[in-house]
This record gives sequence, structure tokens and C-alpha cells, in this order.
Amino acid sequence: MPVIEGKYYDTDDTSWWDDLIDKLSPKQPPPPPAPTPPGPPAAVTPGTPQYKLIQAQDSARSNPAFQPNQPNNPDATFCNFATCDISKAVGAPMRDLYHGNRYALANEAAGQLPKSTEWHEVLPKDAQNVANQGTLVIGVQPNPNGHGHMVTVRLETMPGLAASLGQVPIVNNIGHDVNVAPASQAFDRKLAPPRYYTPNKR
Amino acid sequence: MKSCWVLLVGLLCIPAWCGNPQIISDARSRETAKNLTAYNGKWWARADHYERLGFFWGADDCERWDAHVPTSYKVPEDAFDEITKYYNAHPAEQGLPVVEVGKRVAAHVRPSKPLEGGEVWNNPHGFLNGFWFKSGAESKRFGFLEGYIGCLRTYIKGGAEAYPKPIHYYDDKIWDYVDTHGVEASQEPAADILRRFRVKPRN
Repeated sequence: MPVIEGKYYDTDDTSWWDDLIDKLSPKQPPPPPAPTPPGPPAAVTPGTPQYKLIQAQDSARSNPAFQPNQPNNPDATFCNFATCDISKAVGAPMRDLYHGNRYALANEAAGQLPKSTEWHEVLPKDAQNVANQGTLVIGVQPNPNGHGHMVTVRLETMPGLAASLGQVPIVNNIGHDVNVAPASQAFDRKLAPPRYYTPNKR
Repeated sequence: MKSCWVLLVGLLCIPAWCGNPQIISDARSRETAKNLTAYNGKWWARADHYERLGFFWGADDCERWDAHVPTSYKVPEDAFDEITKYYNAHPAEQGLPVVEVGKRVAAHVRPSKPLEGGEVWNNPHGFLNGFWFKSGAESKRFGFLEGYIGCLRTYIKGGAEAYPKPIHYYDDKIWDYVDTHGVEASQEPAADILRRFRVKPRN
């Protein structure tokens, strides 16, 4: 019976070979730690900017006062109210979203935001990524012959999904329709394309 | 193209409180519009929130701008449940027109204070234009045509003869017209676009 380091092994036990090979082999690195499971998406984690933005958008969409064409307020839509309320809720700069002492209408905001020192323009393709980080992005489309439209960009709970469908950005749409929809559906494609703005300070 | 839009609306709309818009079945899409009084408790029970809302908007649009009669649209959409409760509480009154139940219910619904400072559309037919029509869910468009043509049939002489075809026919015609024309079509009232496809009376 062989004796290896004072231990006795049965001759048919091959584990001493394994030990010997281990001793002669270069030192193996320790196995990597098991990956930690991913946390919940930021959009559903209280305290994150993503959560705050989504809460503000959901709250605006379910606000009865922002529903269009109510019997006691016919022919009225509230894209400007909804956008401004969401902006206020997430702490965005408000100066250029006012016209005098009232919320700016969409056409007015479309004229004011490009000149703003507190907001800057982002390309439509970047608007979704900015919003996915929990930063407010406003989309605004003027209408020279009528009412314009303004929305906030909706962050994705599955980032990249909208892009893979060719539908970026997705917007929180409150106007004559109230829904979350691709911008191509919320804005009139027959008018000039919407432009997107985000606050300079995040 | 149109079916893609319907699918997209179904997939991506996350409505505030109304669920997803339903797809109008082939059988229903072949229906022709009826007089307003024919839309009763049985119709209400099978219509979704969007069709109900479209119906009231369509009836209201015609009543205000074409028929010039008092509007039937009395109950805000967040109080539509009150109409459902009325029909549930009065099973024998399923045949009562929705517009009549709406009036009864409205007397008990506390109106909210109107919000000042929104976008107020002062033009005839308001925002119910080609773009609104084309971007809306199928059941809302369907409801709009039920209400609008229903009102024409009820109040306007020759209204029934002018729109004898299935609702789906007019839905397609308006949608395609907006899709294939320029910005003028998207800004034109849906009611005016609809009028292009009426059967003109023979003189």
C-alpha cells in the first residue's frame, strides 16, 4: 500500500494521482464569485430618477382634469398642462415653459425652448437614451395653422426595445389621445418634425 | 399599413384606466350606423371604453356643428361607470338609449371644475380632425362614426340615405384619405372628410 505524505490509500483509489497532478500543475486561479442577480429595474425602484419620472407621467395620464374634450370643457386638450406638471414634478427648470403667468401653449413652448439658456436640444435618436436615464425630455411640434403638441419622452422599462422596433422615442402622450405611444403616432407626420429638449442641469 | 397601426396601438397604448382598445370584429364592422336611440344598454355592455367615448364625441360633434341641437354628451368619461351601474340596477331598461341614460346619470354626477389654460380648439369640430381620426384606436373611430352618423340619421333630413354603407367602409375611406393627402387633410375635420363619401341626393 503506497504511502504518500503519511496517508494510506487503497491501491485501487486513484485520488492520490489527482493530488499528485494538482501538486505538479501550476496554481489555478480561484473560481470567480457567483454573479449577483440583477436588481429590479430603476423604473420600479423608489428613489431613482427613473421612478420619479414614471410616477409623474403616470399621474398626469390618469388625471381626470387632463382628459380631452370633457363635457364641461369641450374642445380643450391639455398637452401643455400635462407636460408642465410633469416637468415641475421632476424639478426641471420652468421659466421657458411659462408664457406670462400661465403655462405656455405648445406653439409658445416651441418658440421659447430653442432660445432657452436652461434647456438644450437633443436629437430624436438620443432622446430615448436620455429619458432612460431618468432625465426629462420634452418633445414639441409647432403647428403654424393651429394648435401644436408637446409631450414628454417615456423611459423604457426594457431599454433598447423601442429602438429595435424602430419606434424611438416612445412618448407619454396627453392630448386628444392619452396613452404611451411612439412619437410617430403622437405627432402629426404631415407637419414639421418635433424637436426634443432636455434641461442643461440634470 | 392600417392593420400595422392597429397592432401597434394595441401593443403600445398603456391607457390610464380603460384597458386596451378592443378590435372590432368583422361582423360588427359590417354593421351600418343606426339612429342614436338604437344605441342602448345592450350596445353599451359590449362596447369598450374607447367605443363609448368615440360614440359620445361623434354624437356631440354632429349635434353641435351640424344638427344644432342640445348635446347628448353629458357624462365625463371618468364617470362612464355610472351609466353601467344604471343599466345594472335597471335590467328592465336595457332598451333605454344610452344618450337618455347619460342625461339621467349626469344629474347625479358632480362636475369637476374646468381647467383653464389648456389648448382650446375654437374651430368647427375642434380637434376631431383627420390626424385625430387616423391616430386613434379602431374602437374609438368606430364609436365616433356610430355616434356621428347616428346623429345625422336622427336629426338631419336625408341622413340615413346619405350613409347607407357599413361603418367600416367610412372608417377605411377617411383613414385612407388622410394617409394619402397632405397636411390639409390631417387638419381637416373628420366630419368634413366623411362628407366626401356620402351618397349625394339625386335632384
